[in-house]
Amino acid sequence: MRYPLLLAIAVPLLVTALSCNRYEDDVVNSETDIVATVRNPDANFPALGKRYAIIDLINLVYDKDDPIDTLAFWAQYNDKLKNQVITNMNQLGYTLVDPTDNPDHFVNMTAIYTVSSGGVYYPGWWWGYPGYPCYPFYSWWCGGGGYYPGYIVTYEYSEGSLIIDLIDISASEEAGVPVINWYAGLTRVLSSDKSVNLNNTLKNIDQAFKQSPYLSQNQ
Amino acid sequence: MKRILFSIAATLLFSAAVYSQREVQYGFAYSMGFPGSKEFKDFVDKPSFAGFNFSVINYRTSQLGLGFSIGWNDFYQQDKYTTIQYNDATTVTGTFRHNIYFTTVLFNSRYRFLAPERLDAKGFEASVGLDPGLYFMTQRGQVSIYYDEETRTLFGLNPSIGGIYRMNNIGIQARARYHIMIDGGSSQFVTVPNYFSVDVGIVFLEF
Repeated sequence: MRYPLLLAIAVPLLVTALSCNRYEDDVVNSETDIVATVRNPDANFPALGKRYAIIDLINLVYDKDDPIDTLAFWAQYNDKLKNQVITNMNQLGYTLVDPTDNPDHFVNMTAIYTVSSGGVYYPGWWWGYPGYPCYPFYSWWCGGGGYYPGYIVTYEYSEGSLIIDLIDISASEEAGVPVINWYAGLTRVLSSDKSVNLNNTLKNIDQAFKQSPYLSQNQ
Repeated sequence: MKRILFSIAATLLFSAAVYSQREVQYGFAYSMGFPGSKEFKDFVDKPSFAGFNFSVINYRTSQLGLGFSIGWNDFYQQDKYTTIQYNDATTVTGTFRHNIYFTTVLFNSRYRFLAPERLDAKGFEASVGLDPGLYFMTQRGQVSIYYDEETRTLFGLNPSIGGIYRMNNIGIQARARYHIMIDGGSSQFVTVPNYFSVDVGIVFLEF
């Protein structure tokens, strides 16, 4: 009987097909970016004021056992990333002022560098990260954790992530901890890997503001 | 519904048992899939061009056949640098990949519109079928390198219509099916993943 032979062909063919998995393919670098933005749904941004200040040097969170050259990082990224944020803020109708000039908002930026993700972190975890710097102008800055918009409870940050926070200063002074009305998480955009270039990071900063039209003061 | 299916299967088995064996059909088919339910389309709206089906149908009468089949259909969709608003607070941009992968093990029943005296002749044999069985399903949602995966086993069935163009002991087969999941359960992805499939292939006939 020749048909058992057909079974002998068909079954291995099927098993081979079932064992195929397209996800074993590497995800190429251009597909690894994520831009996630979360707002405080109760915040009416046009009513919160136009004046903002921005951090001088981007905060760096890295593994103490695997320190990085912070000066080299700032030399490569600091001004370019900050300027991209400033450009977007200004286009939305905000005005940049000195931190001592009574701003309504403070823009904080944090780079997660040599900390690889091993699980899910709660937004704001870096506020309590050992060695996280205090900011000289604000007493609430070194509080034990900030208030984040409650809608998203978990988000995973991986090595190379850039976080942008828009902090409500008057609410923070009242609460004694940073109160964040909006934040953007850009994952896997900063890397020593040359294929992950700066232009890609700048593009993702633009995207973070583009997908957050509610920030606009020009309404 | 399960009771009805059991009754149909029992009737077919009893009917078949009183006749002697007449013909066995071994089918190999390439299978294309098309999302059916709205929920399915919301997750993956592109057709699947990756699928295969193997079946054995034993016609113990000239018109009633029983058998089994195993097969798979792989639905996949990638949306590059797409922005999705999850709720009024959260918006995410990234490359999204969605995948639903079915492996089916089904009991097959067929009723063919073919007179006994035409069994050995060339020509078209139309049939209708009802195939209940198990759908082993893996669903996966991925953005960038982050993903979540869920494996479920569902009971389902597929009514079908199709036919074979018979040429002596070989034939060309085509069959359209609608796969209906009876026990959906809950899922973070697609709860009721009904879908269409169209199978085209070859059949070996053993008398």
